[in-house]
Amino acid sequence: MTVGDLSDAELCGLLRAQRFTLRIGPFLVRLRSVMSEVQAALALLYRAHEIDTEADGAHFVIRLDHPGLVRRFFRAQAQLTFDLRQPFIPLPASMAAPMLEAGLNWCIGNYAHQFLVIHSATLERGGRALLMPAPPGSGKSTLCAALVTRGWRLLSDEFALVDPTTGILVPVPRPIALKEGSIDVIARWAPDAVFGPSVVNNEDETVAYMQPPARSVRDSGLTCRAGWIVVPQYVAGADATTTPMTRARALMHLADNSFNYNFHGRVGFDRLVAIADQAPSVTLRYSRLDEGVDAVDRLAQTGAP
Amino acid sequence: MPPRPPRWHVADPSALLFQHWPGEDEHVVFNLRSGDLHLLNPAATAVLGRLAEAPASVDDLRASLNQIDASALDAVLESLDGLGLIGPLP
Repeated sequence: MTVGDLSDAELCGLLRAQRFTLRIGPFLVRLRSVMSEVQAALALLYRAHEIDTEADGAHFVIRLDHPGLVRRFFRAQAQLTFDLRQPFIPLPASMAAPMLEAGLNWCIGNYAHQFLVIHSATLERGGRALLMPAPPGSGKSTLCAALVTRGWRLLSDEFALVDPTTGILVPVPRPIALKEGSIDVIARWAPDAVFGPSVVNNEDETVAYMQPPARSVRDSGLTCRAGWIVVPQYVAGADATTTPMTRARALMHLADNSFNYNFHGRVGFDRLVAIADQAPSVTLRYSRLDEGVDAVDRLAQTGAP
Repeated sequence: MPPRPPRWHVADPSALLFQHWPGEDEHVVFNLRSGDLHLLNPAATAVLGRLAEAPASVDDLRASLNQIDASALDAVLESLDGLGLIGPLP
């Protein structure tokens, strides 16, 4: 059963009863909320994700609710609780969807140590994965959103989850976070793309989430291996330019964007070395999305920039 | 200026994992003790590799690594010390 199979009343009931367990790639996430904003976000953005109403355990148990009765009715706010902790300050109720996504990022980044976790958009084509490890603001999610509308399968716009022993990449497809001008850019690029509402976050940025392609969610069980590394860099006005990286630099870049390679010690290091060894790496400076997408496609088709 | 230590060493050479690809100048070293990864230029790689084999004084290093000039050697030693990869021999 998927979220899209539920009526609004069923979804609301399961969320209130803490019997809503979402399967997101390898993770079971149990959610509890009475907030209509959370229900709406799930119904729209997680439509294709499977749920398990009978699961007797979960990797992450998250509650996202009003912080108190007063806050519920006077300037409604949302507060996320994970494992009895509240990692974020309360935010306006309209921020519930970004808070849920930030909470999931926080859980995976801090606790999913069964994987080597890299901050990277990750996509697949022809059985090989494209990794785009980069910090926020590099244009990673924009390029990722554009590529998934051009035949690439979404594994994640936020993480590469690598089995440290085998090197297999495990998909964890979720809504794609877009900010500021990128929202309109992707809306024009892919008129059929479905977005949640645009909201202003606590850093005064407008953020909206794009529904992940249903096919990517359905194919969450299909793993693959690293095929290419592209380090995107959005530079206003720049023509698309790809520059090969040395393997040593690619290894450093993977490590810089990894949450936990050192947690895995020698195994984590060896795995990053193996990825840098097997995947040709380039930096990609771009400003125009069509040129950026073409450059990535060229790399995937020919193995060269 | 503090006096130069008489000899430098790598406290636990077995904790350093080196990675190098043929045709590339730079080496990567992973320090299992700290969990840190470092990108090293050829001079730093040569010094660290030499000290991982055995402790050495600056004069020893200058004699065995004569491709590195004196001021560069001092800078490399200071950098490697700052990264916790080498230290003065007690």
